[in-house]
Amino acid sequence: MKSRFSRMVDAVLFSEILKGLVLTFRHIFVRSITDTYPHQKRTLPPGYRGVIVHLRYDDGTEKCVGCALCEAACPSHCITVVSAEDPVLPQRRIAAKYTLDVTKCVFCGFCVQACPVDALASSPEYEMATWNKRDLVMDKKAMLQLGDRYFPKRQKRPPYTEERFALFNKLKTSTFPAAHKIAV
Amino acid sequence: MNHPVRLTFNGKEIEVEKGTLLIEAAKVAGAELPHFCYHPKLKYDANCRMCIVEIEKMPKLQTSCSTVVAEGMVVRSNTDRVKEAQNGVMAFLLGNHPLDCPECDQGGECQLQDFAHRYSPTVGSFGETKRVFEKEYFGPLIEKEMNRCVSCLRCVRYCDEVIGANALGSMDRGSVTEIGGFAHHPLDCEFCGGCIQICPVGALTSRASMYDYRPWQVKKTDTICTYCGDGCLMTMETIDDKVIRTSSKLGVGRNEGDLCAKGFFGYGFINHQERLTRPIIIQNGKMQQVTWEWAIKKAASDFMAIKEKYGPEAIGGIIGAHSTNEETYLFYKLMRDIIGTPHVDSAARYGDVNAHQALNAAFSTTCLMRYEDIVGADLILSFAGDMTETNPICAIKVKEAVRKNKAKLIAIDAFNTQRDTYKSHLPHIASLHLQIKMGTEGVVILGLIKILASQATPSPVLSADYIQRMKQATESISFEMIEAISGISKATLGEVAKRYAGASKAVLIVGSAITRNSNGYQNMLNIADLALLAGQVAKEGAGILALTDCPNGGGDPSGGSERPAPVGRENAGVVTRGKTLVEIIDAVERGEIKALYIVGDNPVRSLPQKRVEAAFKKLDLLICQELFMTETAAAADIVLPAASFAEKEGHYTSQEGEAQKVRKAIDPIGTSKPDWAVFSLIAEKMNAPFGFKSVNDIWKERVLSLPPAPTLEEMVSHIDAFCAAPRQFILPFAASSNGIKDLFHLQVGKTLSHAGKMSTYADGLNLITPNQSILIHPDDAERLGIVAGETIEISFPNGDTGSIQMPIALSNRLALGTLFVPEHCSMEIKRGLPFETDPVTHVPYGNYGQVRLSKVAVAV
Repeated sequence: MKSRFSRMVDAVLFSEILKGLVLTFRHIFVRSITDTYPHQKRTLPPGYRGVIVHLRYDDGTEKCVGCALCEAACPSHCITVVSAEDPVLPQRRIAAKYTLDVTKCVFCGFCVQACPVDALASSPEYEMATWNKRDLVMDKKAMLQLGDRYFPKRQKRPPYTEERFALFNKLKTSTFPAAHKIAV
Repeated sequence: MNHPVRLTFNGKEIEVEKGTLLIEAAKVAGAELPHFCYHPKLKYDANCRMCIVEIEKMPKLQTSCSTVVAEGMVVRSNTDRVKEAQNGVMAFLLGNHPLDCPECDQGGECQLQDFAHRYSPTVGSFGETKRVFEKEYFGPLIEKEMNRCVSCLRCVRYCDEVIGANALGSMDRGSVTEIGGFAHHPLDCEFCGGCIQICPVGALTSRASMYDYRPWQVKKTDTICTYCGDGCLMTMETIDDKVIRTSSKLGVGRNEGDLCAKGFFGYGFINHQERLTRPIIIQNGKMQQVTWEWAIKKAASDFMAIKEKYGPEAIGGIIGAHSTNEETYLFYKLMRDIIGTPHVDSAARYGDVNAHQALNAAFSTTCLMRYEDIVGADLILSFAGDMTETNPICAIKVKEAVRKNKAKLIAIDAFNTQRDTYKSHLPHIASLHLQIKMGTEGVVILGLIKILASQATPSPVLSADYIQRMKQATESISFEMIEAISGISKATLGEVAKRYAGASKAVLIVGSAITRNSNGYQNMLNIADLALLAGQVAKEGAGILALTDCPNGGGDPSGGSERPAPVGRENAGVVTRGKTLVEIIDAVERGEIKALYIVGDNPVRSLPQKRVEAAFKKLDLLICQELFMTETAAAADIVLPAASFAEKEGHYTSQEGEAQKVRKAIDPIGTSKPDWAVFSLIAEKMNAPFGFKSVNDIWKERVLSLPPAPTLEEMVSHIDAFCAAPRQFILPFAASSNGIKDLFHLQVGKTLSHAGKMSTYADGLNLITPNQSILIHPDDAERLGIVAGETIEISFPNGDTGSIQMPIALSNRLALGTLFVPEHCSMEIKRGLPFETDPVTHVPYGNYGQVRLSKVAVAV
């Protein structure tokens, strides 16, 4: 317990503040251990699980076949798939609507593992801050854009799929004129 | 168990009935045997070799689906030898399988997927290129992806054994085996969708729901189909208030897992974009959407105003065929007890009333037999040549009886007897087919009665007095007259009568040809006499079944108008017998009825259009509760949007008399409400609330209000009383040609893929039968020099109704000189057809007539 006099001296001279300032000024000469984000960014480890993106084949067609297995695998129910027939390539199943709610996503990557055609990938993207929360519900277009940005190297389309689609296209024009899916 | 057989399965002692297949015995033992070609509905084929088991003392592995159990058998399905063989089979199956599970609609409910997880090697050794078939289509709705096929031939066998359409077959051999119609012809089948449902893999899929769902996403609700009176149980599969597809479960429900085209592809109307979603007020031809509160308030206050001004009997009500028992009950309650009018009727008046009242008059019940009796019968006498079209599931039962149990089918109808009709058409499989002239069923019945009455011997059931009276009553009818009218000779009639009376268990099936056509009530009474004389009623396994096309056909048998007087007014001396459907329209015409409340019915389409439309113009108030903006709704003042059967709870009573539960699969579309909820709201606004909280409360009250079922003694005395009643038979008006040549007999009826207007909202069905056309026999068309698709002019010999132009379609099903107009495109035609009502039941008859055809002159 300090004497009453010394407590009065401390109060008058702000000695506690001075002590704190000494600590502060001492750190000017210590090497910093934090990154000055956003000016400085960390190198991410391989396999970093950021925002989920869609990929394309080397010919530019999207890989997704709209099978909804990602939707089934998702533990936080943030994926919605509505599949339909491709209007350009009839008989091909595509995701007519694909939404991923990033606000709900827990970045577990289960969807990436569930995807049978490797159409999904965990991108290194993590800067999703936005003024509008609705921007965080991504559609397929946004996810493909992100995929194009982070995964420029694309897989070659398997020949079997190509063959079948070629066959279907031939069929479309020759034998079955109304190949488009009917609306029920 | 009559003859138990003991065997050891995987070390477990089990006891099964003699004759059981090993694959079924395995289920008792709790072992799962992988299989593709085996299906409990079908005869075993043993072609997939997946269900092999090892049986002691047998050197080779055996297919369990074709091996019958034997006493002391020791069977193992878990040995290495079996596993190795299964792996081998699976490797061959997967060798050519494209493994496109992610985009295959069967993915998730695929047997190949399931078994591949457990019974296949982890790595395939098949390094060659897989076979690639072109994708093909069986008609517009069934997609065939042969790459996925495992050649189990289930679809082929289902089509042959159950449906009897024989439309499919397997072509080529080895790894290029392909399923298809003969020589790649387009399928000429019923489009029942059975092949899609029975396919263990995704080789056959429905295009109507293609890529719309994943099996784990759908919510499944068991409900009752609403397209006819068969009362089929089906599973409605929905995602977020959208019906994705319908399916059925094996062996469940009255249909035992079979569906027809309407059941399988006809769900499209539920989510149709033209469904009414908000109440609409129509004033001076202008439609305006309003709120429910407003619409109900207006409806209630308008009813009150009319009741005050003209009395309660100036209000009439008609309820349609698709309302549940509860809703029909509540509607009568609203109209009778709260509004106070006796003039209510239901759509049963369009024909079902004939059958119900006649059977009730004769036997005091309408539930004379069940579908099991059809299957177990040894003779089926059918007055419904179009049963395959109108009541497909009932027809499947007939086919089952004919094919499996070798029953004899005698079909009496006006359809083509030639063998070039399509295979599942009933006359085609009949052992005796009487091709009568259109509309002369009643004459044939009288002929049969005459023969049976002359042959019958008195017995405890048939009194000598009754037989004597029947003899006397039929004396004036000569077989020459019968032959002249119907075209059936005495010898043929004698053969039919002999077979019918001589059968140990014979069932009689009556279709719309009798109930909906002229003289229907009397013909139904004669049917009862016919069955009594032949001794084929009130007997185990025999009976009469009247087919109906209303889902609630058995629910409101007497129609509204024969019910007792309004509660509290029994002795007030008021009119207790209300007006029937046509009488209501007549009263509207005369200006006696000022307000009409029509629920789910469309009289403009069903009755002569111009007359009804003119009558509706005289109304002060017309309230219509509908799914769609129908012709009647367009003439209404207030249109209330109703919920379809998929959106409400309740009970439908099928033609058999089986009350089955309708369950809610999706929420009502838009703001539409179930009928019972609307009635409750109106009652509430009229200051007389019902106080029902749910459909179950209504059901309870309705069941308690029903009269007790007659006891056996009461039934016997009722039949005796019926037999003791005097008889007088008059030959119905002969359908003569009036001396004018080239007159065609025209019948309006249901087709396989369409039932009235509602089914035309289902796009799937529209694709099967795309255009609205009149059916004609190809030879007739050739004689007139017209080809399919060409437009012809139909004119009516009597009356000045002008002529109608319609495209034609060819059908071998029809007899020469007859025409058939599907109900959904018959509104124009009905205008020119003769219209009459039954003298007893007041059923409107306007579905048959004679017309003249002529080529349309094309200006060149």
